[in-house]
Amino acid sequence: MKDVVIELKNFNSRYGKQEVLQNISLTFPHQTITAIIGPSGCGKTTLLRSINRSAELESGYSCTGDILLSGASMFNMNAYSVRRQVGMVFQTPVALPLSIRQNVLFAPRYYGLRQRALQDDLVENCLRKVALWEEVKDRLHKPASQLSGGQKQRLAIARVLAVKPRVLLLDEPCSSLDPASTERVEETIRGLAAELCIVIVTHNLAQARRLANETAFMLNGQLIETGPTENIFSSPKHEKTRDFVTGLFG
Amino acid sequence: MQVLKFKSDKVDTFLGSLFLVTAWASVLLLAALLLFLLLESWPLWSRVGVLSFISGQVWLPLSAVPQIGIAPMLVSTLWVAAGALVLAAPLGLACAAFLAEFAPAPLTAVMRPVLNLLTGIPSVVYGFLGAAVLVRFFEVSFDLPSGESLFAASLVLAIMVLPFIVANSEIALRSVLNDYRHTSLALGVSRPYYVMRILIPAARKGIIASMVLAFGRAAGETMAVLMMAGNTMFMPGSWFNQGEPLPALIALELGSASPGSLHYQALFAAGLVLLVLVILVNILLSSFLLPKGNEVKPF
Ligand SMILES: Nc1ncnc2c1ncn2[C@@H]1O[C@H](COP(=O)(O)OP(=O)(O)OP(=O)(O)O)[C@@H](O)[C@H]1O
Ligand SMILES: [Mg+2]
Repeated sequence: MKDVVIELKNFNSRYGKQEVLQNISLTFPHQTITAIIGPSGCGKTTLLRSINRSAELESGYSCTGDILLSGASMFNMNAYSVRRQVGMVFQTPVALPLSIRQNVLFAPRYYGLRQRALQDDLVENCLRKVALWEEVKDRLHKPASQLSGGQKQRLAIARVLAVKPRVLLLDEPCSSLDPASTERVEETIRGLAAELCIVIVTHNLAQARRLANETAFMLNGQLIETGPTENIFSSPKHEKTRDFVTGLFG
Repeated sequence: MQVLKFKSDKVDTFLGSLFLVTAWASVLLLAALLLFLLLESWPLWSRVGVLSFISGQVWLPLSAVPQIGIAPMLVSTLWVAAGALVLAAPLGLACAAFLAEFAPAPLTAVMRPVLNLLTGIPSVVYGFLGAAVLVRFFEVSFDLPSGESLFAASLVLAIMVLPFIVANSEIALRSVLNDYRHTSLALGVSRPYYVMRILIPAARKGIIASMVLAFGRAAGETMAVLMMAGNTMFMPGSWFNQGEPLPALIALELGSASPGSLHYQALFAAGLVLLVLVILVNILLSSFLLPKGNEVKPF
């Protein structure tokens, strides 16, 4: 059994009066890709943003229960350090209005990376990990806004990797990409699973099946079923899960 | 369907030409203004010459041998307006960033109407307050014979243009994509770092526009300046000397100048110079400070 990196314990969260997540208990192990599936609006994004502790920046957000990061409650830690260790990539590919190089260095510079040589190494290293280096190495100083959607999404992953997170949360990373770009991002994710704990939210059931070791199914803010991906898709225990994975709703 | 399509085509063309006409109307208005000032001041330009009008140090339009130069007034205008901008720009930007990014919603709800109210205060009130409080303060605490100075005028102008800078910069800051904030903060950087690195650079176009607008207002402001700057016609050596900015000159003397006289023409010429100055600053600031294309500032 691999080490558990993230553990949610009876976690609830709400925006104002609206309950979004109810009593979620779930673990994400090291070097494992966990897919979270469920219909639109069931709280998947909120779950990821809660684990990254950036949901609490929204007005009206509140939560109860606990989330452990490597065994310690993340709510007793510095929020910035949690966000740094638990990187998150959003659904829409976002290139910060900086050059490609400065996109990767955005957070490391905040954490004090100043030496030019180290910066160069880091940029190359992170861009290689997401298989973007060859495509952009000649235009590192060009605006990142010129990249294609798929390239931007890989850049977003590189930007997160640059602060050496232990967990990578991906919110529908391929939803706005064409099949070829999707393929490349998936390869990137598979490669990263060797050293990280990865959680991916996806609406693409085939993608969950291709990519994930574990799958969790959510419905209306509740966790319905979780287990090895093959079990969830071929022999789900719960009737709702079966309906969802066979495409009856969602 | 054919009929419908034809109709909406007509509406489109109509609206399109309406927009075109209004856009051109404002351009024409400006052109007409320039032309009017040019015509009213025309004989002067041929008699005195552009260069000696602008660089001349002496303003004696009524003497037997008239001498007409507006350099002291032009320099006063620049001191007063640029000084006001130097004082108001950092403050205004900081205040806008606070409102757009840091202030809790109830506080913004109070502060925004207050700022809007401030923009509506007549400038004579500002001038009156400045003359009664600020000038007195300088006289008493620095033991000066007169507390009026370009600096005092700048100070009052800074307070007058501050709400404009805040309001327009805040709009610019708020129009920056929310995605940038989510992405940045989720990486574990602090809000001030995000504001300095991403938010303000991304909004710089609108911020610069707000500064240009503020400069134009400060350079053209008459009443407060007239009451604060001291109205001496010597070339100001520093920010803390007295001076008479162009709007004050025109306001003070136009009433006594007989139409068609050299004095009258000279005042119109001064007005033309003021207008051209503001237009030039507009063009310069927006073409130099704005990035060309979508290049990225290297850090
Ligand atoms: N900032 C917010 N303020 C208030 N309510 C919110 C906010 N963000 C999300 N919600 C609400 O929380 C619920 C869950 O939203 P969430 O974005 O987590 O769903 P999701 O599962 O990611 O959906 P999708 O698959 O469409 O992305 C929704 O009902 C939504 O309206
Ligand atoms: Mg979502």
